[in-house]
Formats: sequence, C-alpha cells, structure tokens
Amino acid sequence: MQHSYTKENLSPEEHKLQRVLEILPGATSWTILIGMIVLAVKQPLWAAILIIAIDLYWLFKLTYMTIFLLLSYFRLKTEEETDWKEKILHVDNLDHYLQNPARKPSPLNVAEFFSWRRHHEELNNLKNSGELPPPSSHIIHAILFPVSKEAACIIESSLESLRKQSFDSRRILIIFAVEERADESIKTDILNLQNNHQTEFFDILVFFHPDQIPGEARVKGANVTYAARKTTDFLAERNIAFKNVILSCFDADTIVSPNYLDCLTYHFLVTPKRYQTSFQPIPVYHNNIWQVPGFARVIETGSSFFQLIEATNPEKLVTFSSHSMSLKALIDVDYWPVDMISDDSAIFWKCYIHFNGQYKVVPILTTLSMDVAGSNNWFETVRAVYKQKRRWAWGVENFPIVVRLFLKNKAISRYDKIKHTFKMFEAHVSWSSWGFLLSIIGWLPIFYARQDFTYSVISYNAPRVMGIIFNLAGLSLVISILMSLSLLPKSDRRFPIKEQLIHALEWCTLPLILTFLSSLPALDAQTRLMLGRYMEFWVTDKHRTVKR
Amino acid sequence: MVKLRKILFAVFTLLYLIICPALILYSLGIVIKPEIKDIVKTGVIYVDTTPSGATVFVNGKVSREETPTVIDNLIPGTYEIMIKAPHYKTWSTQVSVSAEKATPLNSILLLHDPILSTPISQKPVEKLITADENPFVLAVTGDNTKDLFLHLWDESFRQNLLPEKETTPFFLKSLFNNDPALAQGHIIKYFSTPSSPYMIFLVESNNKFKYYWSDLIFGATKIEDITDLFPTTPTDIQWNESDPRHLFSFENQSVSRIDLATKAIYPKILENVSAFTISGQMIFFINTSRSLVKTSTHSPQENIRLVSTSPLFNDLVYKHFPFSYLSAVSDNIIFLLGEDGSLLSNVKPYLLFDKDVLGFQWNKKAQKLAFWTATKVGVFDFSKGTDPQQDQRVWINYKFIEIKQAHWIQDNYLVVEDASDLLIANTECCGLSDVRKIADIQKNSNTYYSAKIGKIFLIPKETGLFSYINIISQHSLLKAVTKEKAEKNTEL
Repeated sequence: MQHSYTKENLSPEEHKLQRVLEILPGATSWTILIGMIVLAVKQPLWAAILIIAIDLYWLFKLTYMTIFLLLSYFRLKTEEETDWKEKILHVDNLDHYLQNPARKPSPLNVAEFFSWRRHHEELNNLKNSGELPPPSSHIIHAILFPVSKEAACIIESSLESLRKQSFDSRRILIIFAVEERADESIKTDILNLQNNHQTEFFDILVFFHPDQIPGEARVKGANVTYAARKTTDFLAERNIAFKNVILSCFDADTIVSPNYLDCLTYHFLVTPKRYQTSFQPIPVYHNNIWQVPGFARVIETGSSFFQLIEATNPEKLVTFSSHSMSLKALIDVDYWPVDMISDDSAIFWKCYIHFNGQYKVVPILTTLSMDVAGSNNWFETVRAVYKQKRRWAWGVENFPIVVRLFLKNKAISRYDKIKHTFKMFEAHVSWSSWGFLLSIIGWLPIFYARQDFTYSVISYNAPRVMGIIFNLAGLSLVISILMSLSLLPKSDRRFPIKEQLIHALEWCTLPLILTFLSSLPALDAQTRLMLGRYMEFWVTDKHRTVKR
Repeated sequence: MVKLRKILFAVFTLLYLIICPALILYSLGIVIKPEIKDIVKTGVIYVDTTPSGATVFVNGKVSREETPTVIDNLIPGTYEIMIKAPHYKTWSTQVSVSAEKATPLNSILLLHDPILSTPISQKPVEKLITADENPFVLAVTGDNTKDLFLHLWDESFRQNLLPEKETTPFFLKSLFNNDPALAQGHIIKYFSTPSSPYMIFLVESNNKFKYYWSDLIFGATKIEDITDLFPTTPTDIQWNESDPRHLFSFENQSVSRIDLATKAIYPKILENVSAFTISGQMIFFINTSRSLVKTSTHSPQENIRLVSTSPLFNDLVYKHFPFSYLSAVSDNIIFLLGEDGSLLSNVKPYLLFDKDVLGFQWNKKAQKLAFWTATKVGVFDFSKGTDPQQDQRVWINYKFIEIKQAHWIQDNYLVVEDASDLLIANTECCGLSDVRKIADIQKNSNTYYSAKIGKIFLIPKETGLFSYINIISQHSLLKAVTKEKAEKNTEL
C-alpha cells in the first residue's frame, strides 16, 4: 500500500495527527529548556543534580562519538590512496578474483590490511548474495546540479572537477536544473557552459523548471524532480537502462576529488541491494574555508565530523546534502518530494517507507567539498550560517510525516520503527537543547542558589564535578582540533602555521558557536514547525574568491 | 563497525548507569567509607583566605590544595582547622561539620607576622581626624591650628600637590601654617561629609570664633573664611558631597541654607526640626512633632511627607525621640540614633537595638550595619531580607572594654577600637569568636581604614607617631576588584 510522502491534502484525522507530531519536537525542546530554568530557580538542588546527570551523559556521548570519529577518520585516511579502478575490475571479474585474490598485506601495514580485508568481505558478500552487478562499463553517472542564483564561476569549478575524474567522462551525464525565475544572466551562463563543455561528457542537459506548477512549493526538490523526470525521458529515448544509471544530486558548488566517481561506482557495484541503497559521501566545506571567519570554519568542520561519525552507523544513516542513488530507485519512489525543503533527507525516508524498511544508506569514505556559507563581512556571514543551520534543522519536518507513515506501514518491523523514530526525535531535541543546557542553563542553579542550597555540600561539589567533566571533555576538543587541522586543506597564505594556530584557538569558541549557531537555529526551526509557520526555501549565500 | 558500536554502546550505558548515581551521591556528600564499612552522609568545609594560597590543616593533616579549597568527605563532627602561610600569623578555629552541609570559612583575613606599623610622621601625634571615603587623614599634634597636618594617602592626589620649589611629594602638610594669623588659632570643632574633600573648621582665635571652609586636595590647600555666613552658631553643618556649594546649617530647631558661591543666606528654610540629614536631593529630618519626614532641598517647604507609612516605625520614632544623629546611607535607608541609645531604621525590623548604642557603620557593598555599645558590637545583615521568625542580628563573641569606633574591612571584618586595643573581628564565621589584636593604640586617638589601599592609619601606643599598617596586600586588593567587576558583569 503506497502512501504519499507529504503533509498536504490530508484527511482531517491525519491532519490532526500531523499537527500533533509537528508540535512534539519543539514542545519537548522548550519544555526541557524552560523546565530546567524553572527548576534552577525554584529547586536549585534538584536542578544541580539533574545538570550533573546531563553533563555526565554528554561527556559519555562525546567520548563515544569521539571514538567513532577517530575510527571513521582512520578509515577515511586508509581509503585515500585506494585504487578504485582496480577494485572495480575485481568486481567485474568476481569469480576469477575470488579464486585468485591479491596478496594479503601484512597486518603491520594497518591501512592496507584493513582496506584489503574490507574489500574481500564485500566481494564475498556480493558473491553470496547472488545479486551480481551490471558490468562497470555499462554504468552511467548522472550528475544533477540545481541552479538558482549561483554564479557561473562556482558551477564551472564543479564542472572542472568532473572533467578531471578518473572515471570515463563520456559516461558522465551532466544535468543543470535551472529555475525559470533565475536571472537571465544565470540562464545564459548555464547555456554557455553547456555549449562549451557538452562534447566533454556524455551530454550536458539544461532544463528550466517552470514556476508555480500546481502542487509544488518553491523548493529545490521540485526543481530537481522536474529535471530528473526530463532526464529519465532523455535516457529512455536512448534505450539506456535505468538500472545502470547512478544519479548524484549535487549542490552547485560541489567539487569532487578525481577518484570520486570511481569510488561511487565501486560501492554501487559491490552493494547487493544496490537499487535499494543510497550512497553518502563525507561532505567537507573546503572550497573557501580560509576565506571565511573562524567561527564558520569551526562549525562547518563540526558538521563534517558529524557526518564522519554517522558514517560508522549505517543502520541509522540518513542521506544529507550531496548524495547518490540508483535512478531506478528514484523512479520507483516517484522522485523527490516537491513540497519539502529538506529533500536530501526526505528522499531517504520516502525510499525507506516505500521499500518497507528494506532501504539503507551506504557511507562511502571519500569526501566531496562544498562552500562554507559566508558573505562579504562578518555579520552577514553569521546571518548566512545561522540561516543555513536553520534550514538543515528544518529536516525536523520529516518527523511527523515519517511517524504517520510508520503507523500505517505494517511491513516495517516495530523495532525498526521505534529505533528510527527515537533516533530522529532524540537527535532533533538534543540539537536544539544541548547548547543551552551546557553553556548557560547548567550554571543557573549556582547563580540562583538560595540560602539552603548555598550551604549544602552540592553547591560546592557540583561546580567542581562539572569542571572535571568539562576538563575531560576538553580531551575530545583537542582531538577535534588535531583532526580538523589534518582534514583542512593547507592555507595558501603566507604564514600557514600561523593560520593553523589561529584555527586551533578558534575551537575554543565552540561553546558559543554550539549555542548560538547550532542550538538556536535548531530551536528556531522546531518552533516554526510547532507554530505552523512553515519555512520558505532560501538559497544559501556563499562567497568564494575563485583562483585562476 | 556495527558490532563494535553495539558493544561500546552497551559498555558506555553500563558505565553511565554505575557512575552517574555514584557521582550524584558524591556531590550530595554521600560516600562509602571503607574504614567504617558504611555509607556516610558527609559535609564539606570551604576555606578561602586573603591572601590566597595558604595551607590548610584539618586535625593536623595537611589538605591537598591551597586556599581557596574545598575539604570534602568529612564525617559529621568537630574539626580543628589551622591555616598557615609564610610571613603570616597562623589562624585556627574549631568547625562543626554537619551531614550534607557546607561550612564556609569565607575570606579569612590572615595577619602579617609580625604586624609592623610604618611611621608617616617624625614627631608624635595626638589624634587623627578622619572623614569617611576621602583620600586623606588629618593628624593633630596639638590644640592649635598650626598643629593640624594633612596626609593624602591616595598617591594620585599627592602628586598634584607638590609645593613650589620642592621636588618630592610631601607626606604631611601643615594646613594653616602659611597664614600666621591663622596658625595660632584653636580648633573647636570640624565638620565633614563622607566622600567630600571639603571640611569646615570652627576656630577660636583672639577670642573670636571663625568658620573656615577648606578644600584639602585640589591644588594648594584653599582656606576661606566663611564666618559671615553664620550669623548664629550652628550645632551642625552638612552638605551633599555632589553639591558642596550649598551648605545646610542647623541651629535653634531650624535649618538654613547657605550658597557659598553667591554668599547668600536663606534662613530657616525648615523650622521645628529636631535633627536632620541630607542624602542626594533630599533632606530627612525629625520634626518637633516626633515624625521622620523628608522634603526636597530645592523647595523644602513644599511636599514635606513621612519617610515611612508604617505605623510601627512611626510609633518607634515617637517613642524614642529625641535623636542625636541621623544618617541616610541611601535614598531608601536611614538610621536614627536616639539620645536614649536606641538605634532605629526605616526598614524592618525598625528597632535594631533599644539602648546604649554609641555609634554605627554601614557597609554599602555587603548591606550590613555594624553598631556598638561600650562593650558589645552587633551586626545586622540587611542583605538576607527580614524574616520575623529569625533574628538577623548577631553579636561579636568577645568581651570588649570600651569601644570607641569600628570600621568595616571587606564584607565581613570589623576593625574595632577598644580602649587602647585595635582589634579585628570576623562577623561571619567561627561563632563570631574570631577576634584578634592588631596593635596597641593611643587611647581616643582614632583610626582610619582605607579600602582602596588596604591600610589602617593609627597612632601606635609605643611610638606615638602617625603610622599605618598594611592589612590587605595590593595583590589581594587587585584580585578582589577583578572579582567584583566580573560579578557586576555577570549581573548585567
């Protein structure tokens, strides 16, 4: 039984349920925050006890996440030198390879050993699944770029990175999904790009998405869906099997490494249920990382870390930002939602529900780089980052739809429903409340301590305990700083060491950043959903000085 | 990776479920004591000293951290606390620790060992004349005006007053020496206002009484004869520190205003006045009808109204009339010292003490009032609010002999002039028994404490010289100022 992944056109009962579920995350977040404030004022003793429990929970969670951050980072580093083309050949000649595998590296060469072991596990799984892939030579990559306000130089850089792919560019289909309402200059630039580079790829298609199609909101999902449909027609006319097409929906500023498509191809081929799988790379924001203020660098690096951590938990991984999937799967679920802002995560849930829980995300340990939200000056950058985070947090709009559809779907196991529902709910509530709890509210019991609390043991022990917890958490901060310095591209300025030192110090502003540029926009988004003030799509301001 | 994740999740969850309650119990002071094999509710002692960095001994055992420190895991009972620091006298007390309670020993002031006084004058001095919150002290070596010397303890002012042809700033400057006619006068009385650099001296010279207005800190000391502005002899002269141009003189149950700039006299702007004081733009006074009323200094005859509408307070004012001294420490708080020795306030509980009170000192920052009789010193803490069930008044646990004066040091210490002993008393901890002797002083010589530089100015009995003692080091003062600023920023 198919149910529409939308909040529109619901029956009265469904609409009520939808509204209740829309209110729930925001109400929970506000209840936690206001409740803690009230408790701190009225019952500082109990508030102090609760804060200790919360702080300790946070320390454990941080430590837990840091372990997986390190593991994921290690894995990312081990795959950096991988020859994906060679691995693809192994898949193409699966039986032969499994009988004559490459020499097992020494365990002392840790990176190679784990890479080899993983590769062999994947090949054996593929063989045992019986779901053999098409030949790699049949694979076509369709790269979809939605365009609204992006300058030609930004898109040109993205195109350049695709031209440099180790994957055969004649099997790369570029699609520009341009909004009809875009400036004429933008449209002209796109058409020029098409003219100039069409022969370098399989083709470059340009589709202009008409405005105000009934049933559509002014969202990116509507634009890319329109272009994807047109692309499907294009491929059908040329008798290209949809099963052989991997569609990647990139942001206009996405720049990929030269072996990205080979890496993606490999993972597509080696995944048994490839037509019920999305492929999620690690997004980094390195294109203009040294051109933006320090706080923007810190917060975007933090976002990358989050994705690295999520990559270690594929059972609960959800697609985010630029990602890839089989065109067949996209067609099966009738493309992206055309009335939702968070199309990147919504498409996963749409697929998950459509395939009755038999849909997953495979993390591919390679990066793709985008721009940090930024602008010409510091204040505008704060605004841009805030709005971007709020848009990301608007992914909470999926919660009520997913839960409603879970309630209707009898095929997905109760365990999986509870697991996903809890994770989604907890993630959003934590996102909006942790920053405030740790930075501000946690200190209120001491501030509002009454006489009886002031002369209690806990009024002296609680700050010491919290201090120890925060000092231990500092270890995670140090690890994050070191990793970020390793991940970041080298600065091309005159004193790169100085830049790195400054960047290390910038991480000390993390409590402020977490509160006002992470928790606050999340709370903003949840509050809007709670009040029924649905957000319009806002194209993120990005500012990059392009080097010639 | 998925398996590892599940294993780690289970391990972390288990650890959290074990550590979290243990940590909460520890924070509450509930610990397991292996030696007695039982769970015990413990207490803590918080020790903070001025200066910090002192070593704390608990029942003879040294604590692991220097002050400020929290000594935790203490089984309820009594503990001997000893605090030692190099070049400071050892401080000790006995402290009771209760279960789940903290016993704070806040800002224990350590005294130098030995306590040395540094002389300022080269010749003996009879007494000191002080004016609160001013950067100077006057030293008196005799009865005549030529025996009156000014000491500016605030160096920033001292630098401005280099006499001509001198290259080094003075430490003691004669006030009236420059004018031979004035130098032989005899000081009868002086009038001053806290935070005001001006003083008025009533001088008797050649059988004539003269009033001299003096500016003690700006430029060369100015002395102006303002006798003509007082046709009758006032019993009191007051002025607002922010408006020294206008003086208010009190005589024959009336208040007159004098404009120093225009030399205009406005006689009897208020009549039927028993006692008065000025704060800001308001005059507070007790009228002959035995009520405490207030009015504006600009139009005193208009809008005279009761300070408090509380019948209880007004009855007390009526009952304890007349009053020898009024002090408005702010626009909202007024203290009244009755001729019967009673001490009243216009804020609850109104009657602070009913007899024998000789004086009082207000601590603005801590919102505390110290008051004394000849043999007792009491402290009233207004910051804790007024609870009718609880007596907010505490008494220093010490047998004083003849208290003359007391000054606040920081928020919780008093320096008390008791006969010829100069004592320092802690008003918060240790059962209020922490009273230590600082010095032997000349009886009735007065002392002065400067909070800005942490010094007490006194006349030691041994030398008779005008001297000072360092009570709080510059480093500790700086720390205190920084902490105060941080607290103010937090409040903002």
